[in-house]
Amino acid sequence: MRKRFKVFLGDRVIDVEIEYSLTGSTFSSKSLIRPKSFSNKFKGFLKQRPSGISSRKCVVSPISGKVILIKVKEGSFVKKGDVIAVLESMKTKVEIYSHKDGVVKKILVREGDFIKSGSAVAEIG
Amino acid sequence: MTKVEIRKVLIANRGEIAVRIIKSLRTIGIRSVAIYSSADKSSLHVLLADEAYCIGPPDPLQSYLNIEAIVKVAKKAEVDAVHPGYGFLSQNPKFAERLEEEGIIFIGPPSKVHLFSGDKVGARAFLKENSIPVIPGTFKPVTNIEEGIEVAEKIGYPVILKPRFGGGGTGMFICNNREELEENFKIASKLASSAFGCSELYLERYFPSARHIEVQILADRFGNVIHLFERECSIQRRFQKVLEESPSPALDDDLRIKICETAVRIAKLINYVSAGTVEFLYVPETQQFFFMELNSRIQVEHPVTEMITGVDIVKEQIKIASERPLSYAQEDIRARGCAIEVRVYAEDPESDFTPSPGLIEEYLPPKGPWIRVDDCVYPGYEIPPYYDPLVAKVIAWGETRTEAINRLKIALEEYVIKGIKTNIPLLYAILCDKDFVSGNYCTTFLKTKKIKPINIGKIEIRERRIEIEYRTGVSPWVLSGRIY
Repeated sequence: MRKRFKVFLGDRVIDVEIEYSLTGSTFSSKSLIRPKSFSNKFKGFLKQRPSGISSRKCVVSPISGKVILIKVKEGSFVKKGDVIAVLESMKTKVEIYSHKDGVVKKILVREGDFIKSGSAVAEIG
Repeated sequence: MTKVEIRKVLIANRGEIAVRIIKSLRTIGIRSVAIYSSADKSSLHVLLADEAYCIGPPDPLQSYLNIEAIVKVAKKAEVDAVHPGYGFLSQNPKFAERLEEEGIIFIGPPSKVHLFSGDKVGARAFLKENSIPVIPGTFKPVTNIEEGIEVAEKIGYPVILKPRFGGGGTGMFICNNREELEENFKIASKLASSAFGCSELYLERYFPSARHIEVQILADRFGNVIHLFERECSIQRRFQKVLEESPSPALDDDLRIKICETAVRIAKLINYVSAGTVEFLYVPETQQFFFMELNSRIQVEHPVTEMITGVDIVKEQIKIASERPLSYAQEDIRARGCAIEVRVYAEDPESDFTPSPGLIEEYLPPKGPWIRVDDCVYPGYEIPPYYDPLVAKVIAWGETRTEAINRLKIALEEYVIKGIKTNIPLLYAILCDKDFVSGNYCTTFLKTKKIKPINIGKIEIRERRIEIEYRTGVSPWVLSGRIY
């Protein structure tokens, strides 16, 4: 079985495909922890400072789910811990909190959107 | 009467229950047909079934709740019957009727029973007339707040507000006084109308120290009704069951027989057919029990009963649906030992039980004598975020309750699930709690005790074991003959 992953490095996105061998041994997360060849290849990326979407600027969703409510407007001021949006995941409502004080610069999702874990929800400046 | 022959069954469900139903169908030589949403194409039930059909997008409304799409597949696959499992369409009278129209058997009770079990207020009134003890409260829907307050003052606080056509613990509000009742009334009716399509509510007395005890029944089309003893399901979180066991440590033999016989009487009163569960509330201080509701489907916790009685409930459901009499008379049913089930959910007990869908990186369920695991995941499987978070049920049997608890604890110690967070540390902590061990608990156990999840040790040993499996390239899955 093959799984596709997106690796976010700064503002660059790399598509990675990982294959699990199902005949004998199963997938081990340990073997995925940055083999030497991998880290050498991507050293360049790692050196670059993030410029676009970064977890510092953006509120990031910790889990996958459907956006059912956006609680803030662009331009409004939020405090750390304020609810930015409400997601529905596994039949449960999950609130996404702001990670810092600031002004909502941009809302990056819409109500009804399905987002994956790690996706940016809003940009806080 | 000509006997009905069921040769092929469609399972209108997903997850562990679909897998469990397939297992029973296999043992009695019936072909299985799975349905799945596009998010479930690599789910275990799809891989295990003899045939599988995609019926729509991930949203349950367009897939597992889409009656027409399911009927279409049932006709295309030429199935004789449909097993609805639990949840989704299992208690939907329209679904049962629609299948009947197409000449397909619905494995469950006739649609009029669904109407009874769906309308909680009607059921209460009917049973009261037939002198079955029901919880003090209203026997008509409460339409306005004044009426609600009047009833509440009469029966006494605390009270609980419930939706008339509710279920699954949704939209229920406990009110300790008049202010709370006034406050919750509007919210509750709004929630009831959005979740169940009807804003009507009813009121019941709330007993904080009560225990949730339910009786498994089986009824055939010839009027034979038997019970398979009780299950205690008092360990709950937000009205969702977390742990179930049988026999109940709260009951003595006299009371046990009394409750079980009351359940049989209720089933006979409403001409119940198929497997079902009659739920009671038991108040230990006064030794009173009250009818709460009837669940006209197979339940999540049915394995507990299967473990102590040896009866395959799914097999009996199919037998009843093929218009055959029950395989057992009441005196054939013997309960032996004690069985305890815990529900493993994909949720994080450390951060207020937020759901934790995602990729299962490593998976090795416990095995061994007297341990049963009903699950639906495998390494490399990604748990989708669209459905409920139940990953597996672990059931242990023991000659005594202590033995069952010990076996279950060891099973949880051995359970390896990586990639997602699960509530196993909480389940383990419950099994270690001295009040639980002594059998002294009630429905508010988890709320009042504030049990702290215990992260099970031995992790090093377990990791080493897995490493060996990877290094040798021998998967325990292949060895055990399980497909994936």
